[in-house]
Amino acid sequence: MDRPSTAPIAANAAYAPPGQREGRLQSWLGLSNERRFATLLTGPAQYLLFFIIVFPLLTVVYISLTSWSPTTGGGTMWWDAYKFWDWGRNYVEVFSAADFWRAVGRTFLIVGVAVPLEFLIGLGMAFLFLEEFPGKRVFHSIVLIPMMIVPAVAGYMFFMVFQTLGPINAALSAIVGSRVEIRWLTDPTLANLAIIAADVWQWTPLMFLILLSGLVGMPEDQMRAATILGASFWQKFRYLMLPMLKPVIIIALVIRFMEAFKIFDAVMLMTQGGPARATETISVFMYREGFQNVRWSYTAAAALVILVLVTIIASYALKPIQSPGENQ
Amino acid sequence: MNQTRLWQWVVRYVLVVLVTLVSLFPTYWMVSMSFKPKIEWTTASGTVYWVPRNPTLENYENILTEYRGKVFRAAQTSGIPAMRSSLIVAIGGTLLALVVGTLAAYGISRYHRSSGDFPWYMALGRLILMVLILLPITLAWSLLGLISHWYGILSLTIVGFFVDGLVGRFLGLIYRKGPVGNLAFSILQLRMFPPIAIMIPVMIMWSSFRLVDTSYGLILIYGIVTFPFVVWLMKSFFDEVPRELDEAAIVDGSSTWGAFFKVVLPLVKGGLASTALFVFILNWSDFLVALLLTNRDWPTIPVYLNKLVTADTGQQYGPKAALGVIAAIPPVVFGIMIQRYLVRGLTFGAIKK
Repeated sequence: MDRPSTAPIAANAAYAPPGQREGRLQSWLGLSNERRFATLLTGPAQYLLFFIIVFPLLTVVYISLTSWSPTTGGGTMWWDAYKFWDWGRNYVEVFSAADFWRAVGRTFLIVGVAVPLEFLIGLGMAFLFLEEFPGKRVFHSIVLIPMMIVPAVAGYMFFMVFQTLGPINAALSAIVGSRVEIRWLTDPTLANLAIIAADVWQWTPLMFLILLSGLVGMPEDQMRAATILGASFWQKFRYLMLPMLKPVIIIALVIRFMEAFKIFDAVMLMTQGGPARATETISVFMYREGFQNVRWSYTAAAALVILVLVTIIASYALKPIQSPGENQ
Repeated sequence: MNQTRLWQWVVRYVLVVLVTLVSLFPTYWMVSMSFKPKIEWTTASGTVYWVPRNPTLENYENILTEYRGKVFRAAQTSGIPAMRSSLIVAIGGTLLALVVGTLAAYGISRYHRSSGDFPWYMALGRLILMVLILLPITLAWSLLGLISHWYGILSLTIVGFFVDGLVGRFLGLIYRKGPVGNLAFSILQLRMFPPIAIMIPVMIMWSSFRLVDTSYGLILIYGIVTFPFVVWLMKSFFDEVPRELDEAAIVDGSSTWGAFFKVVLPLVKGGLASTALFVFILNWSDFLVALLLTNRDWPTIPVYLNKLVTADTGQQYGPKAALGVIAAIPPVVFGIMIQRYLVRGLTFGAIKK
């Protein structure tokens, strides 16, 4: 918004001489018409945001410092949790819990494998769909369907597909020639692969759409010039497209990273975090500890650790999203 | 030359068809499963049924009717209540998010100037300072016996609202690059946080408001969870409307509200409609929140799908697939309708094509 302030209502609202247009009380309160209007507009959103941040944050901090949970302490309500004050033993437990760090590590692993895969496949698909060909619109629509499927339903689809008596094994049997019975969802490694496959299947279309929109916006003159000068496809890609696509690529990766980090639905429907916690991600870990084992204070401590982690990551990662919007 | 082009053409088509098949297969499998009689559900009989051999509507009948001894399911109800609650809750949440988000988006688009470009220790410092200041207040509230009531929680939130403003200004004095804290940016940051992490306090709040397992409760939380998308999407639409238009309307004697409702809003009608559909898809798709905040009265489709238990017969692939098909239809239809805006929505308006 660095345009010169020819805009009297917007940019100069705060600098309008006091008492010129509004009543005295209003100007004393600093409430010019425009500022009051702006406050009214953003007020509800701001209030809702605080409603969902302030109280939860305070409660989480409070509970995390005690050993209270709804099932312990004979019906003590949460505001009396100070009776179970234990000076942050939960944090010691979180930091020394192998389970928790394994879940964190696994989440990063799933994100770290799935997101680059989605990126590469999406980029390939974007090149496929760059030029016109008959039937392009229909194929384009079909290819986008996975990202519109309800994630829980997508999880269930992959649950069916990866059954030991399901179609994947049947197809493999047909190829190999003998009966294949791979236990996809009960083997620790394969179950993680199945989850990655589900995530890649569902979210590659988003990558594809973002990258395609970037490629379509590419200036054609330069491409043509490079072709005439005899540049190979690889050279064009490396020295022309990649630098120009960079902002779009960063946005695509950041968005996917953000969302993949929270992965829950597909895991719950496919493996429920099993076998023996081998597919537990951060969200599933917190679900199990908080709502199956009902250890609220411990979960609260884990949630705060994640909050700090995410705040640090987000302030770096979200910058590229912030800037294009601001520069319009 | 001609031959290489032919080759290119063939390779492209083969790849496109391959990609299409892969992206279609799991969906196809679920749809075909929903029409298969029980014997065809698995390969246990020795053959794999790529297409249903004896297509039947039994699975849909199972899911749409009351328990009649065929399938043992959650609470032995049909899937209809789950569909009804999904529909009501998703529409309600969408409306709430739209109203709140559109107003905020217009405010941010026209009046906000801070960039939100500050280092992580400022963001963290803001949170920590806020907690340090508010914890004693919380304690005071609980000593006064306010905290166990809904008005205690509401008033505490209002206090927090002002404290945060002060903290932002105070940190701004130290940081010297304008106030630390930016609504649009905080909204975005919130999106990154796994929702399960705040579900414990949300459950506490919702139970003190008596909102657990009600439609209002779900509508409220869905509105809160999805209004960030509305803010970012609608901001990107409002940014495209030149400011000079609202200014002209105001110069012509219209009020600020009038300029918003009569001049700007009609111009972004299309954007508003696609935002609504987009947010509806998000709300319809939620699983986690509904899983924790509902139990008997208002389970949504994904929760019901997860609960649909099997007793004597093992996995009920058919009925569950039928339910999955029903759940998948609205978002796919709406999604194809708003294809053009999907990217914009999911990238928070950062990419506009």
